[in-house]
Amino acid sequence: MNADTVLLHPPDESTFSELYREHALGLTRLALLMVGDRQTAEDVVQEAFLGLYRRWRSLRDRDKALVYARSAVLNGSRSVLRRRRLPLLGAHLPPVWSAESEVMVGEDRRQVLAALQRLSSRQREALILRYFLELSEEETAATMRVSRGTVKSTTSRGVAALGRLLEEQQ
Amino acid sequence: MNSTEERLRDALHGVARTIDAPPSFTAPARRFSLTRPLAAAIAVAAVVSGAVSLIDERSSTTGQVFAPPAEPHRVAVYLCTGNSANERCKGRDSTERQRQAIFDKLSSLPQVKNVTYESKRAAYERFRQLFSDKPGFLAATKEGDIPDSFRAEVEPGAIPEIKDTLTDLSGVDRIVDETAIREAARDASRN
Repeated sequence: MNADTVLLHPPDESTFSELYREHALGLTRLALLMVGDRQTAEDVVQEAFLGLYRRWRSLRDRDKALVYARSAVLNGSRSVLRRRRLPLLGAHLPPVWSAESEVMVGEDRRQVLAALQRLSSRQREALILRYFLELSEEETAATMRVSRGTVKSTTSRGVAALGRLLEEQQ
Repeated sequence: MNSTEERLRDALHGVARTIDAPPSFTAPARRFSLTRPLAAAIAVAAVVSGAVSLIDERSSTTGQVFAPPAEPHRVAVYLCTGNSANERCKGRDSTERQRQAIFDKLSSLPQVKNVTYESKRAAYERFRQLFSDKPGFLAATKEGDIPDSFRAEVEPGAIPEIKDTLTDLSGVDRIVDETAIREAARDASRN
C-alpha cells in the first residue's frame, strides 16, 4: 500500500473490506503453499474470511484481525491436509510444484517445495511464515500459537533439515 | 544468509506468484456456496474501497477516469448500516436525525461544495449495473447492503479536517476520498 492509502485509512478506521483488499491475495498464496492447489487454497481463504467476518465485532484492532486471519488460513490448511490422509477423501489436484502439475514453477523450485513437504508440518509452517510472509519470530509465534522460543528452534532445525534434503538430491 | 534460505525464499515466492489475484468470490463456489453476509461484505468492500466507484459512471464505462489535480476531490461520507463493520455503528442504520446533523455539519464547512445524498436504493441500483456481469455477487446482495452516503466536492487540502470533524458524529461509518483512491489505483495499475 502506498503512502496515500495509509493516510486515507488510519488504523482506527480499519474495516473488514480493507483487510480483505490488502491481504486476500497474500493469504491465498500462503494457503497455496500449504495445500498445493489453487482451488483448495481459495476455499480455505474464503472460509477464513467468513470466520473473520463473523467475529469482526469482537476483534478490537486490525492487528488482531490479521493474526486471526493468518491463523485461520493455517488451521484450515491443516484440516485439508488431515482429510487428505483419509482413504476415499484423498483425491485432489496435484500440487503446483509436482511434476504432474501444468503450472510452470521451474525445476529448482520444484525440488525445494518437494523437500519442504518432507519436513514435519510444524517446521514447514514455520518456514513458510518466516520466509514467505516474512513474519517476525513474534508474529510467527502468534500465528502458530506456540512460544517464540519454539519458533526459533523449529525454524533453525527446519532450515538445517531442508539443507540436508537438498544436498541429498544433488 | 545461507543458500538454503535463499533457495527457500525464491521457491516460496516463485510458487506463490503463480496466483496473481485474490479469489473474486463472485463465481458460485464449487464446494459450498458463498453465504450472504460475506458476499455482502465483499460487495461493500469493492464499492467502498474505491475498487469500484459508484460516484462516477464514466469509470464503469471507460474503465479510466482522468481527474486533473486542480479539480476538487470527491468525498463520500458513508453512513452506518446494519452490516457496517465499524463498531460505532452498533449494527444499526443511521437515523433521520443523525443524517440531518451530518448533512448540516458537512454543508457548513467552507471548503465543501455540492453536497448530495445517495440513498441505499440508488446505491444498490448503480451497484447492480456495475456488477451485471457478476451474477454471484448480485444473487448474494440485497438492497440495503450497499450503504447510503453523502457526497460532496471538497478542496483536497481540507480532507484531514473534514475527517476530523465528521468521523465522530453518530451515524457516520467512514469517510472516503474517492478521487485519491482512484488516482492511487490508476497509478498502481500503471506500474
